[in-house]
Amino acid sequence: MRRFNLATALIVSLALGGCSTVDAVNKFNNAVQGYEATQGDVDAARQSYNATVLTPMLHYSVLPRCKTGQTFSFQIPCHDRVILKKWRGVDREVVAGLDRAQVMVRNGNNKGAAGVMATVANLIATGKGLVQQAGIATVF
Amino acid sequence: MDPALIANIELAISLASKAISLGIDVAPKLKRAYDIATGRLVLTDADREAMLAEEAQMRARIDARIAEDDAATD
Repeated sequence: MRRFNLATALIVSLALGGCSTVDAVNKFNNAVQGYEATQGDVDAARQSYNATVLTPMLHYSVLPRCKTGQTFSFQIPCHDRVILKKWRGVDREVVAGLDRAQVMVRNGNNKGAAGVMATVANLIATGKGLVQQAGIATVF
Repeated sequence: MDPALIANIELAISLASKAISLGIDVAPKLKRAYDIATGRLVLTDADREAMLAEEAQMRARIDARIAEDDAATD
């Protein structure tokens, strides 16, 4: 039951955007307290990150490049090279975190893995905040 | 018109617009994440490898795009 609560909190924190992301991450951080992450938790985190962040990032990247002074809109969907680069930078940190959590689970350090996943959830919130600021939240 | 019907139509429209903005490939991935989280699906090492390979492929495409951006002069 506890596992389900953590995994649900994680997916919600990954799937939601805007201010609710912060609330969801806080709930996730609370759920992590004293928790031991399993292989299933790491897999669920990776899969939901793939669906809600990595895939939209790929969609965004294939849009035509915004011209100087142009910003993303429904009328003129385009990708901002600076935003894309920053977003990918955050993604690198998230992947490193997930990889670290994976190694910890493999080595039986499930408590450590839960802590790392809390850090990952915060990083994802940071990335989503970046996207919100850039006005491209619609890609989520 | 029945208010409940209107609400249903509004919900359907908002879900459809969300699906369009996220892309059609997202829905099965979210379902899979849900299945893993609830323990209905347990990944094998091969499944995990396949997931990592797919991610690597996606990141390679994004990185190629970033490299294009860096090389562009517009």
